[in-house]
This record gives sequence, structure tokens and C-alpha cells, in this order.
Amino acid sequence: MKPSLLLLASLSLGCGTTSVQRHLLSAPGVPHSRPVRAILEGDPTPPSLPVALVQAIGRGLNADLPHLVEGLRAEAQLLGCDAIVQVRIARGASVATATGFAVRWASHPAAEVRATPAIDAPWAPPPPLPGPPAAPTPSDAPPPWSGP
Amino acid sequence: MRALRVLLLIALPLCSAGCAATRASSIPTSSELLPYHRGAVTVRALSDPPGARELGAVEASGEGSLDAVVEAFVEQVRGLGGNVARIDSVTPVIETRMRQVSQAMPCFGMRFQAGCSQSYLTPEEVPVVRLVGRALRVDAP
Repeated sequence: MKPSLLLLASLSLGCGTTSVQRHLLSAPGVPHSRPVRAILEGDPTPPSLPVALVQAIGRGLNADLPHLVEGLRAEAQLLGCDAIVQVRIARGASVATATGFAVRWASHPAAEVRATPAIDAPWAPPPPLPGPPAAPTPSDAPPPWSGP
Repeated sequence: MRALRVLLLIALPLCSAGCAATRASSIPTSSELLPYHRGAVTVRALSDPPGARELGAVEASGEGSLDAVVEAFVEQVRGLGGNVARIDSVTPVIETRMRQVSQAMPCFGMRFQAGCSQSYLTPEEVPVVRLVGRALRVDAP
């Protein structure tokens, strides 16, 4: 094979981009590098606190599921979240996009201790799936950070 | 023919700009008609706040900035008098639009070759986000 073809093939492998954007719904946590779960829409979700609406867009060679989920997970880690829930995916010929909500588990220590350095506590496994509906908790009140 | 070409060159960018705008709509589902809400609106997902009253159904969609789509959604909630924008579902969609492309081309038989170009339409895939939810009202305790 000619060197020019090899060069072209190696360049084409890099022809893909993944971009992520978000809209904050509540105060983010401290960035971490713990694993982040991705839960597709329709799958059961443990009780959680939504932090942001996130969208990943993959173009070219990055227009596939692994790159989109990896983009969502990286954004969730930046926001100090434990999971991306209600993940939905749409795919075209050269563009693919995925959306979801970055959430913190309701029982995670970070949910209560939001503004302290102790947020980087050892990783706790996700809580069990919800059972029968429980009484509303104080966390259902409108968040105090939703200013005018 | 030349006039038609000029009209197309002017109208197509305008049309594509109009098609790219964020769109939103709402419909009241309650008999409670409230005035436009000028105060703070809380955006919520996954759960309703306690004691919330539903005022209407809201949808918004658009490409580009996620913040702009959410802002259009919130504006519809304000119009219904709500102070909580409840997002029920977020749907990503890939829409196919026609995009105008201008390309330089050789000007055969002309002395100056600087101004020769051709324009044509090419399909382009655009990622769009669609929000569906409700306008809620929560009275202060």
C-alpha cells in the first residue's frame, strides 16, 4: 500500500467529534472520577436528584453509541453526578445524539453534604430499586438555588 | 432566469434561518387562567413538587443551544402563569434539512476568474432536542 493511502487512512480515523452541552437544574457537585451508570429510558431508576439536562452529539466516526454514552458519562463526572438516567438516542447517517438527566443518588452522601470537601467519600454502590411509593421527602421542595 | 436565481440566493438563507429557530407551544389544561408570571421559574425533572397544580401542557424544540430550548419552554410556562416548569420527557431527533453551499468554479471563456461560483443545495443532518412537559403552579407556604 502506498504511504499516501496509509496517511489518508490514519487521518480518516480521526474524523469524528463528540460535543456535550448541559442545562443545570440544580447546584452541581464536585467533579470526580468514579464510575457513572447510564440507565436507558424505561429502565427502573433508583430515587435520585436531577442535577442537569445533558446532551451529547457525535459526528462522523463518533456518531455511535459508545462515544455518546462516554460523552454523557464524562459530563456527569464533571457535575459530580452518579448516573445518567432516561437516556435516549437518535442516530442519523453522519450525526447521532443522546440526551439524559445527570443525577445524584438520593441516598448518596453527596446528596446531603453538598458544599464540603468530604464529598469525595468512597464510592457507595447505587441504592436498591424503589419499592412501593413512599411519603414525599423534604428533598421534594423547590430548590433554594432557583433564583430569579 | 437571473432574477429567479437572485431571489433564490436571498430567500434560501432567510428560510433556513427561520427554520433553525427554537419553537415552542403550550395549551392550557386547567380552567384556572392565570396572568403571565414574571417571577422566578424553577425547572424540574423526574418528580413533581408537592402541592403543585397543573396549568397546561408545554413543548419546545430546537437545535444548537440546549439553554435556548429550555428558555423557550420556560417562557411558555410563564405564559400559562406557572412558576414550575416540569420536564416530562426529552427526545433527541435527527432532522434532515437542505443547506445551501457556495462553491468556486472555473470561469471558462471569461477574462476575470475571481467572481465565478455556483450554489447548490445539499442535505444536512441536524440534531434537535424536543422537550415535553407541563406548567405547574406551587403556591408559597
